[in-house]
Amino acid sequence: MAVSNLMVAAFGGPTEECCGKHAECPGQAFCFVNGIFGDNPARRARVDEVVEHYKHLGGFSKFNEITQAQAEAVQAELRKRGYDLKLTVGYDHWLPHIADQIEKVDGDFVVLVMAPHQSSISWDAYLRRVSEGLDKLDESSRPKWVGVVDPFWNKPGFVDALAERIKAAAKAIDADLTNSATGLVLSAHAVPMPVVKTSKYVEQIKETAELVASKVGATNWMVGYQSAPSDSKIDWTTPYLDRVIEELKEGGAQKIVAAPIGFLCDNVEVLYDLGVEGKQKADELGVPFAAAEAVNTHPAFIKQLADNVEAKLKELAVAS
Amino acid sequence: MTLTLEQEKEARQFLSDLRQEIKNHAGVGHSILGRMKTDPRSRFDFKVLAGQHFPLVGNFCAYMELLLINAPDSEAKCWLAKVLVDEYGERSDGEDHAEHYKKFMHAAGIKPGEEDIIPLHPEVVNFIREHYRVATEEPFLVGLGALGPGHEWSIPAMFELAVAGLRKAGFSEEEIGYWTLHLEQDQDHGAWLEEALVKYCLEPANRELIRRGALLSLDARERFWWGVTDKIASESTKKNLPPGVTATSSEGQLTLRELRAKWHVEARLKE
Repeated sequence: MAVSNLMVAAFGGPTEECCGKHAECPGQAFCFVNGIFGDNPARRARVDEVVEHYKHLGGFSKFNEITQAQAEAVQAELRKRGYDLKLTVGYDHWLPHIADQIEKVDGDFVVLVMAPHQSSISWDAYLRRVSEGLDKLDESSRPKWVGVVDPFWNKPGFVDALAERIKAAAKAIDADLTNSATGLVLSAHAVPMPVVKTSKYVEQIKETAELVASKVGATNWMVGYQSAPSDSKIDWTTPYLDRVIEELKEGGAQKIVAAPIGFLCDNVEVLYDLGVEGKQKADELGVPFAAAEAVNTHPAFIKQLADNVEAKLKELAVAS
Repeated sequence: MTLTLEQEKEARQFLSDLRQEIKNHAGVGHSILGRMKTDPRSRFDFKVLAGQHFPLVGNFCAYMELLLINAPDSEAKCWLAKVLVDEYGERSDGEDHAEHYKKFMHAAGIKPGEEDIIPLHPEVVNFIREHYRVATEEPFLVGLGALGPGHEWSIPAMFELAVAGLRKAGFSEEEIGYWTLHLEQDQDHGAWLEEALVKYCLEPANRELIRRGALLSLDARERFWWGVTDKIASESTKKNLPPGVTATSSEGQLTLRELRAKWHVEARLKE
């Protein structure tokens, strides 16, 4: 089986490109957020709230730019290893859409899901878009989907990249991670409990957190969940980020370092919900705070992704 | 009972506020519904949705019948009975709503006879369990809040969004008759309900019971829609890929048939 294409699938973020859904553009950030919540007056207050986060950071997101850079770096790393794969990148919630990108794939392909931890609303949702794209094509022009690259939440390259980002953030506020006076928050996106019931999302987050904490020698750390919609009336994964910052402070932390272990790039949730709101909370409590950069294009992370793709290609070659 | 103008005004203001609170609840405005207008769903997605939604349709009459047993007066009994008569099929060619829903299920691709052997997301089971609990264990007004405003005022808003998605997915008007029927009938039920509720809304304590029931139902509804979202994503993945690739597992999930076999609901006559 000759796999010739790598499809990279991710959540997406608003760029300057127009989504074309409105006769008069209400702003890309609005279109993006409204597209996620649905065009529904019931959720308008929450949509407006999140749009403000984007506006605070300039109205757009670096998500797609960083994801494209990650994908190209993986492609280049694989080329060095002798795998010449055509690269196609698509997004669940912004242009270019995963489903539309499938027609650019021109041979057998594997999918790399850009989500470190697995739940139906990220991992499966992106794969669903791949199915949607295939369903739109005639059988004669339909490329063959031969596999999905394994997830990487506990892989050493991902953990190493996170650890280095954390150490850099700690250095910025002169915090000693091995001292219990430094609190470490390991942050991931909150997920509604009905979704958690069918997946290993929480267990995977916990495993990443344990590996990363061990790698940096942290003794005083907690997982914190962020970005749950303020208008939801049901339970999401807890404890929430702000409560974790409070708990660490109450437990004696004099400095706090926060790291987005559930995110792969510096998107608005990382920069605003963690970077701005997390810092505001720490400022209220009078604790010096530093948020680590996401893994972005860290070489160890890119190498890990390439390792996972290569492993899948070898597995498929043996199977055929 | 004759209400003073002031009492009636206060009761109607409460009901108006409650309608607004229901309309803005995240269970009514869940993203799976809101996105149907702008991010079309496939017939396969609706096949999955239908399999998860059917148990709710099939159990609604039973909650109402249980609540009817403990309705405190004939006015409340009349409202419940009027809704039940519709549910039994008086205004839908003699077919009860579950039978009517099966037509939609078959159009979506579920084979006749397989309607009750679909593994259900835990939140589907929880939704049904919560409504039996509310109808049998909570005070009557909590039950009325859940099955009255919690259903009749939320369903038209939710179904309007669903109908837009069903049409985009290519279903004919005949195939989606169950959904469009509810857009009309539940407007009527909602209006009858408002009249039946006014007299119960004079005391703040009663108002709080009704509101609590409505919110219990809508919270269960929000969890239900997340369950459906979860199912659609995982079933779509399973459809095209080998086992093990999906992020989710349906291990231990009960079917409606299994649920019926093991379910025991105890109804008590209250003083």
